[in-house]
Amino acid sequence: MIKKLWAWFVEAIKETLNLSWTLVGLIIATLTLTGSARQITGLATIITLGIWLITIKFRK
Amino acid sequence: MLRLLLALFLLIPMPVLADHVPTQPAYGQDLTTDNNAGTITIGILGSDGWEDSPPENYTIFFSGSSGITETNSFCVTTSFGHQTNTWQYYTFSNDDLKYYFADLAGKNFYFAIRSNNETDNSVSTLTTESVYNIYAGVSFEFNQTDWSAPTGTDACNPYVVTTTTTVAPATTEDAAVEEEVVEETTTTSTTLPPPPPPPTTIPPEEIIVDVKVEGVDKTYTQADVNDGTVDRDKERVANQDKYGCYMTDAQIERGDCNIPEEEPKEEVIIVVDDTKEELSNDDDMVLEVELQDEVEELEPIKEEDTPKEEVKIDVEKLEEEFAIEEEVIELPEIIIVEEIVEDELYEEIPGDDIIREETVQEEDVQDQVVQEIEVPEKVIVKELTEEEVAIEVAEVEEVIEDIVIEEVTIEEVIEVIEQVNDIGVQNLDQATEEVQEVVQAVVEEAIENVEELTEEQVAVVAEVLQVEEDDVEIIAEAVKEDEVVAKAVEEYVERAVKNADVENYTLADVVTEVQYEAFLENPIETFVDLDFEGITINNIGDDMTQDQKEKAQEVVVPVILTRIASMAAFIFRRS
Repeated sequence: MIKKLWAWFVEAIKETLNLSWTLVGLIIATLTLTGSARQITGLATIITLGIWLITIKFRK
Repeated sequence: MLRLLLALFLLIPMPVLADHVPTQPAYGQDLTTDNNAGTITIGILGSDGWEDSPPENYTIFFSGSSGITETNSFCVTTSFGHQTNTWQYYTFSNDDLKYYFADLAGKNFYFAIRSNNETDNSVSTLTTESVYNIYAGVSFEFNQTDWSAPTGTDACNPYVVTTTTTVAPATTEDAAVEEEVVEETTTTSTTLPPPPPPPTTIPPEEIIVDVKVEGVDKTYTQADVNDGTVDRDKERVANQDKYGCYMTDAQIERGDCNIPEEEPKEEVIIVVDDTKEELSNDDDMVLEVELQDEVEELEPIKEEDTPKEEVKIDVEKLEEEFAIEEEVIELPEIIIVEEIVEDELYEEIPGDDIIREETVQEEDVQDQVVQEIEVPEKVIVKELTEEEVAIEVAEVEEVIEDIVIEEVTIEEVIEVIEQVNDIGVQNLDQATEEVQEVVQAVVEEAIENVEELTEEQVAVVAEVLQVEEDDVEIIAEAVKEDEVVAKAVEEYVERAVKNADVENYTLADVVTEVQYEAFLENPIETFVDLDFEGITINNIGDDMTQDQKEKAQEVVVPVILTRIASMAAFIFRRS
């Protein structure tokens, strides 16, 4: 179980690194926004990243 | 994997996300008194909003003795309705209290609150009874000797859940006509219900109205009249006839009824060709008739257009104006206009139609000249020399000399901002720091008191912030709720001066800078510090200024496009 978690963790880091430029863009976008738009964008970014990382194996 | 999914499913608190009851009672209540004015203010905390029928208003039941029920106490209904997790306040004036109580000094004031949604015919349970011992001071010592307690509708006129009898539709088979009997069965896990009231016998209500609804006599009670049931029933019948929906006006406005939009009727023009029978089979003859028809069709167009002389006068006038502008701005000559006109002519008028060409040319020239004249207003950029800036700065300093920020008036604020607008905020780098600080304070003052400003004054404030007039109000609201925007306004002048060499530096840039600094200080908080109160799908982005939206678009759109392009490239490589 721990091995599996560790493998997923390593894979998640790789995937996040693959998304580096996109994440930079989204963070900049979030910082450019204000009010409700900023909150929605920030939350959507985090949730989508979470789903993306959880579904690594499913997508492969 | 399956077990993990099961565990996740069990972990998610599904009931928490579900609606609690149709209409929830208030989540909190409090009472404060103003012992000088002799008023009582009841605070009502709105629910979390997870309900089908959020309160349209609240009824406060109150009395001088405990055991409050809906029938043994006085009551008032608020004009405000639901706001998620937000405190709202109802104030009893001194006169109100004198009306309900002979004397209040040192007495107990008991109250409980009920939430009402009249549209959906739904009410909550009463909140737990609260008690407050009123201050034994002069302001609450009424000592009324000839006072008598209000009774009947004077004492309490709340919204009452209707339990009307079913009226069978006389002419239609629409099942929606039947009104359901609604009972007060709502409960909540957050607020304990009030102690059960002693059994009381409610006298039958007087039947006073006899109205025909859909051809059937329907009787109403006094309560029905008071709470608007009669009016709503009339609206329902009217809307049944009009839209086929047995609903109130409020429900129709809410969009509960599916009303098909009426499409505009197209005009059908039938052209009867009289020449058909007269035409012979000879080709030459047909050609002649066609040519005649063309001339006949074109002539009326020429007559309908603006007379030539008038057009000439207008064009001359406009050309004169244009010539004056041209001297100042040095715009390119009208040659471009002629080229455009020619192009348009080729596109619009196929064939050699000389009469129409002349007409269209004049019209197009007119339009084009007007457009050309409008341009200079936007193009003019007033660039001041160093000497002029120095003079203007001196004028700003002169105006500021007499100003005390704590006592500054709106007129003074606007005067200072107008002076600053003359030179531009970024040119304040030539002024002393003290002047910059005063200007900053003045700008903040203007934003704080935006409600008191006239339209012209708002325009002045908008100019100093380099935003649109409508955005000033948005900024004023955002300052109250968003720390980042508040800080940006606070530091606007200082940062604008520091970025004097940056073109088109606006408040939106300051906001972005402040957010960037906050992100560097605490990256996680930027994404985690969320407050979705009052946010709906429809109003996302409404609290952003136009300038901010444009600057955000410049970032967001390229990010999305880049991502799409990289995905496409990846798919292309794989295939």
